[in-house]
Amino acid sequence: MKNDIVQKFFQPTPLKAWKQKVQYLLLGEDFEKTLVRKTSDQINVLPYYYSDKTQEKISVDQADHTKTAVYIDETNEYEANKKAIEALKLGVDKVFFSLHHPLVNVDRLVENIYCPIYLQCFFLDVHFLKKVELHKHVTILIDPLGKISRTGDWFTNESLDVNSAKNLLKNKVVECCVNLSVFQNAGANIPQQLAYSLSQLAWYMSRFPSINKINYIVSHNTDVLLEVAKVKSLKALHESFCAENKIDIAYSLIQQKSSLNLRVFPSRINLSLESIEHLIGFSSGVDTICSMPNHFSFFEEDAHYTKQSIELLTNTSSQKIPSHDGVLAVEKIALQLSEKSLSIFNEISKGGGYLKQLLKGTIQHKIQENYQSIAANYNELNETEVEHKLVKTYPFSKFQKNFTLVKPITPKKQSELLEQPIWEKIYNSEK
Amino acid sequence: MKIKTKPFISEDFSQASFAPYTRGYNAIPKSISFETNIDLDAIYILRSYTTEEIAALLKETASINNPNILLAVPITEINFIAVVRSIRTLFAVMDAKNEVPTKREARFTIQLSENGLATQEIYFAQLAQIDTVWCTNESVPKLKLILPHLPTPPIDAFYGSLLLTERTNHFMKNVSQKLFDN
Repeated sequence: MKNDIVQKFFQPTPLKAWKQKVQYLLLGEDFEKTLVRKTSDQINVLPYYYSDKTQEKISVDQADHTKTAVYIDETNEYEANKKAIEALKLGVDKVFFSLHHPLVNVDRLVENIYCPIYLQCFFLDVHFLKKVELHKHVTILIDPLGKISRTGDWFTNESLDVNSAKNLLKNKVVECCVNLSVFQNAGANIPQQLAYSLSQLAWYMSRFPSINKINYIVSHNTDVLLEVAKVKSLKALHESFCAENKIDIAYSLIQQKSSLNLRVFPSRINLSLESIEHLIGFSSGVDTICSMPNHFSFFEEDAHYTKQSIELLTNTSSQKIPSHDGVLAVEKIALQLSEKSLSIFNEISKGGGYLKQLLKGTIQHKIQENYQSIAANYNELNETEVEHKLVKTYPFSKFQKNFTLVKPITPKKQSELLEQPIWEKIYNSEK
Repeated sequence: MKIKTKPFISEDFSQASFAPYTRGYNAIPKSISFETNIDLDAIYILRSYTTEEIAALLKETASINNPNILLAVPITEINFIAVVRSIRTLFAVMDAKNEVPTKREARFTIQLSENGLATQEIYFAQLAQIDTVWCTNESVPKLKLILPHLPTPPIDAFYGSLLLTERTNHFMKNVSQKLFDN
């Protein structure tokens, strides 16, 4: 026996004995109130996870190795290419460009880059394919449902968008995305993020029956155990959904920086918070982790964060970060998240599916409700950290009059209710 | 739709119901504290994950009531959690073997590295229920801002990981051979 020495000197102590000891230590304080952490994700995190013989764990495939990528949202091809090459010298494995129009010169954009390249396209254009055909290491990512969710409008209209996407997906270099990040950044809780994504998968599957791969774009809060469990649950939901429908759709998980966690006062902790997100990515086995986009540094003096983010990512990649696979707390939370997500997914299906619920505004309303509870409970502002600096980017979502088909799901910050009034006070007085 | 599951199997000693508080952990999760002044003369230092050094540390501290141990080793890896777990357990075993009337309690300290990965190291310190993080005066305000973003995990939070079981078994077996096999 491996632990003879332990067996010899310890008497087994059942859960009841631990609970008695805890009650004694709590000096009359309530166990639930003091030790059980209630999260906005509808999960209660226990102080101690105990296994019994009936314990089950989720069965999913693990990524072989998590790769790193630089995220570039530069509009100028020359500048974007230069930044990509600089990042590759720092040790990233892949390049991720976000493209907003089809007029981009792809030859120039990818010149001298020989690693895998993703083009996250915020347009649908069949002619754009011709520009990419010669570059075998380039993958185009499209997401028509993500477009209407984020902006409130289709590219053209539902029928034309579906047709364009169908034509694009006939080509092997084009793959479809489901963007959980849109929901996470807007303040959706984890069961909502998972359920809405599964509903999007169902919609894509019904419109594009020959689809053979989905790229899930995820972003995370800093609650490590919960977020690792989220990734596990997402994999399980995808695999179970495919098994149930007798289809085989490969999947890949691409992690992007969350905007919900970003702080304005003080912005200097943003890299530290990002390093927790990197840790989650490596621990949970996502396939690719992207560095921080340029527009996430708000002040001129923070401009170097983009480079530091890449260094931080490659530095973490070289550590021996252990996988959280099999960790009992993660397994139990992942099962709970899956069950809660399935219940929301079933409600959406009964209500006509993702698109119908989005057009009715139900999904936006549910996310907004959750965001309000997160923002209302956020009280970490230190007045001494508020200082005037040269502004690079406006950090909050700009108010836009709603002329769109549906209300868009806009990114927010959990600190927004505290920080935005301060920002307006400091910088609007200059105008 | 049903989620695919499989039975949870762990060959860990926790499976045999040796609850963490019997193995030197607090019965309830505690949060870490930041310390800027550490008396290096009053602290025992572990500098590597070799079984020789871990056994030497345990022998050296055998007669000390509540020793302070500085873990000057790489933090963001499985060995860190496994070694802290093994040292705590072997402490309890040594006390039981020597019939020490009051249980001794080791206090663990880590020093954060300066490679930008301090936040990740705090998370691993929390997983291993480390008592103190040794840092500079200047870094305390920033670390205090970060801590609310890292909720305190459950006790022995990595329990169940097969990797942790394998590493803990490795250290338990090899270190106890060096401690008790004479």
